[in-house]
Amino acid sequence: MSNDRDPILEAMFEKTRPTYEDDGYVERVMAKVDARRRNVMVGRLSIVALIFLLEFLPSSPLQNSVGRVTQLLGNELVNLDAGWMEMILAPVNSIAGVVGMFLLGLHVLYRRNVR
Amino acid sequence: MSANPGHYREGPEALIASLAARGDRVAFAELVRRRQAWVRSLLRRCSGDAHIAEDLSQQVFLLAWRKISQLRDVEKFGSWLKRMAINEWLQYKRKNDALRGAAGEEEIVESQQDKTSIGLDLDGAMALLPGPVSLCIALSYHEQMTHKEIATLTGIQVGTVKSHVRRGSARLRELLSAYDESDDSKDAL
Repeated sequence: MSNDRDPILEAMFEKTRPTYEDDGYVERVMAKVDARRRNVMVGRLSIVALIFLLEFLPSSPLQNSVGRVTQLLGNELVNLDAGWMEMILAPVNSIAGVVGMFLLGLHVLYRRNVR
Repeated sequence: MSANPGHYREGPEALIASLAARGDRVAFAELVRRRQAWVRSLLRRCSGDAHIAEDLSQQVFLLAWRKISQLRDVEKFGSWLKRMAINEWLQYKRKNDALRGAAGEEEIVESQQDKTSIGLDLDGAMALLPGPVSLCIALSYHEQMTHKEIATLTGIQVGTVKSHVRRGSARLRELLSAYDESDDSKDAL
């Protein structure tokens, strides 16, 4: 017996194998799928509407804040004068680089824990 | 415009899966129709509870809908879905194991006297096994998978699968011993 199955248990499992009639299961699942599609659509529309509103509000706060954040993310962490060193380390030598690596680390940790 | 569900009834699963991966809702409904009994009965075996199996299987299909566009090999839709069901079960078990009390065990011992409820007793006994053990037992006895296949699918070592199946079988036999002792046990099975 290569798979160590107990014959009595095997018979029990076979005798009590669950069967499912057409009980509206597919409709129930698809109703949830549709609800999810609706939610995703509403969420996307809300984001678009929010961006649109922020963009066209007086003094355009979105534009200002995006500009400020972009400037901040590009700031060098360490001032390197050597040309080639600066070029090599450019992707990580900024606030954006650190934030990116932190997010990547979080993602790897999450994947490891979920699996 | 949505396709007529009847058009998909006879189509090969890989084709239906590739259509669903492109967002075809009707194709996905056909996949649910074809695979629902299999996913539900696997989760029913693992959990030993029809309601939990119903909820978890719906979550599996919802997740499948969300992720099917990432499925690279549509020929492997079945094993992809099975892996998803297994992950869902293990996640559920991880969350709920801490809450499980000893009350369930007393109930199963009492209900063993009722020889007509073999299915319910087997469900109850399965529900008492730890998550990975009940999973290996369900895949071995219900899905008739070999230890190696279970190891490949679940990522558990073959030796551990073997020990889970052996320990789980012994525990089930112990919990369901009333069926052994009965003179009618052979007939009942």
